[in-house]
Amino acid sequence: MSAPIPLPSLKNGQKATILALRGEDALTAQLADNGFVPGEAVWIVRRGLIGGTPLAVQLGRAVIALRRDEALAIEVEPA
Amino acid sequence: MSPLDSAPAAATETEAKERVIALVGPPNVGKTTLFNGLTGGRAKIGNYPGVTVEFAEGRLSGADHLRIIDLPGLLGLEPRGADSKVTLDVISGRSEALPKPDTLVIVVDAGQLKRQMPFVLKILGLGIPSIVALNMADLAIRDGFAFDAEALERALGVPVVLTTAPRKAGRSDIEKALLEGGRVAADDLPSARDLASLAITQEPEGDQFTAGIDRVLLHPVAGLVILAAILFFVFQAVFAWSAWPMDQLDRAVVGLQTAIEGAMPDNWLRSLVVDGILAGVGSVVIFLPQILILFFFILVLEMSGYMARAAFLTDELMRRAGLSGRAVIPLLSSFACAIPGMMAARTMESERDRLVTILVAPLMTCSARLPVYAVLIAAFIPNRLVGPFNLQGLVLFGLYLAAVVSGLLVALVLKKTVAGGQTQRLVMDLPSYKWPQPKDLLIGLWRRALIFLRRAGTIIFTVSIVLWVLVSYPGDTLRESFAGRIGSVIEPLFRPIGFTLEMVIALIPGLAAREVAVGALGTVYAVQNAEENQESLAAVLQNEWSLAAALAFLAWYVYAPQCISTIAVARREMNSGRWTAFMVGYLFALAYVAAGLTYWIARALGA
Repeated sequence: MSAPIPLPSLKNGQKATILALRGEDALTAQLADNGFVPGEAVWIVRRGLIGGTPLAVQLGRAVIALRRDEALAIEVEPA
Repeated sequence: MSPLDSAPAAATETEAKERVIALVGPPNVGKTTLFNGLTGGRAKIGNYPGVTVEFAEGRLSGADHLRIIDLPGLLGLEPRGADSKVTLDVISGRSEALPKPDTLVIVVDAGQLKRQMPFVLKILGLGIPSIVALNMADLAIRDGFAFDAEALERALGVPVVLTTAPRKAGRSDIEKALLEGGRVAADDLPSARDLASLAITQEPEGDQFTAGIDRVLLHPVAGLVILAAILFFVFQAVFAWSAWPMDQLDRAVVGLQTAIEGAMPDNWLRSLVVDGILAGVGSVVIFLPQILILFFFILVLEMSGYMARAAFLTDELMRRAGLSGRAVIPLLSSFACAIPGMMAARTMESERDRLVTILVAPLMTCSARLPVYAVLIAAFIPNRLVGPFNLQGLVLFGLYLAAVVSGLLVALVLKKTVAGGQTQRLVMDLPSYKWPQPKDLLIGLWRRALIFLRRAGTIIFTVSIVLWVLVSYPGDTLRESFAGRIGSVIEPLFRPIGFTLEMVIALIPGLAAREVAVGALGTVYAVQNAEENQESLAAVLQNEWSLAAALAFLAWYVYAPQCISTIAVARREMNSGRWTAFMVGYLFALAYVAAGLTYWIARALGA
């Protein structure tokens, strides 16, 4: 079992499972409303040119754009 | 008559009792297409009082007692931004504009059912009779999904239908369910995950089509190059494709003016109609082709799903300037006209970001400045080559560049000072790519055209009359008129930045719409038909103005808020007199300083 890491630490295309959401309540609530809930599979599709932000994150069949700071709230376990 | 035309027929006495049905759902689930299909495109667009969020309202085709409301997108029960706040107010019955809905149609994307099931449960938990529509079912089934709507219906206790909004056959189930009415959900519902696995009997792998396109379009470098190419093409089209229809409109207005001049005796009323109303309203209506072409592209980019990608690609750049990726479209639209640009800012979730976007929108060089730039550049800038470039073209480019750089700087300063506060979160769906529905496109364009003509039209109509009075009375010449007198009074204020009395007088009618200043300069210098005959006006200006003064006038036009309709729309969109006053104030201050600096630097350099 790999150690939990924040979502932005994944390499592009590396699959992972969401373990938990950590951070400000308003942010974690918004992420949860968007479908980022523990148990879901995610991976990073693309990153922006400047500073590697925002991230295009594949979540199930959806692709969601997150800023790096927002994605840091998502803790994942690489597959 | 166009089927798009018009509001639903006035409520007739129907046997059945009127029922209000509201469509609620997350963004990008095809809610508007479903609405257009159900109502046959006959809808009226309203505005919620206090906020400028639009709602569309119509009646079910063939069942006039069913009133259908299309509500802005919503993701959960917490309000995030003006749009979702309005939706929550309406469904909880707190809205003054709309009655509490009798039935909710919870619209979700069938292909995203697993992710959107928690949303369905939250809305069902409100205890309002509901119907669940699994929309875009055809696309999901094509991708390899299979659904068991009956199983979900039994588990939830409310009608569940599969819908394919653009097709009549795809809407027959929901139409039947609407006539029967919604039901309140059962009390003890299984978890969202269990419900999803009950409803989805077959699930394919990821969306290969969208993933494949995204590998290219979201590429950090190639994606930006493609975005730049698309924007370049859109801009070219806005100018190139609009030339012919604008010409025709101009000719129609002139033709109408000539006809009225021939038909009416030469009196004040004729002058009011021809020189006041027709000239004023005509000068605005002429921008309709540009606005429609621009919105055509905006709608296509939006409906295809590309717009969210454009926001993704530019987000970090815009964030560093104090804005967000979502401000890209409103600001780009403002190059045609700040009015649609400000209206496009409605989709922004953060009120602060929206405010800053609206505040800097007038700095994006709108097309109405072009006639003024064209006349002055032709008069004062030699038509010769500097290296491989044409000097006149370079000056024009410089004026645009100055405006963009100023806009980004102002945004940054505003964010750091008066409009600070929490930065907006991005968290944004990149929807799967799809072909735009021609019907939705037409309806969208029709609505934009109506909004533009109604808003700008009514304001310009009034202002045209007021300005006509100011320039026509009293006396026979512009100098003796009210406008001339006002010009003499404020002229000392403008003397330090090199403006002459004639320039100041031309600024006053230019307040209605910037390009009117060209005609006004013509009148001041008594050049007949200045607008058609730009060469002679240019020749007069060369004699009368110093180069320094001309450059100062150009600099003034880069910044000055010379357009009443923009100010009026800004007032509506920001819903604040104070912010509107602030916007006008800072723009005038910038214009004054820029014109002054230009004048004195040019003088110092010997111009």
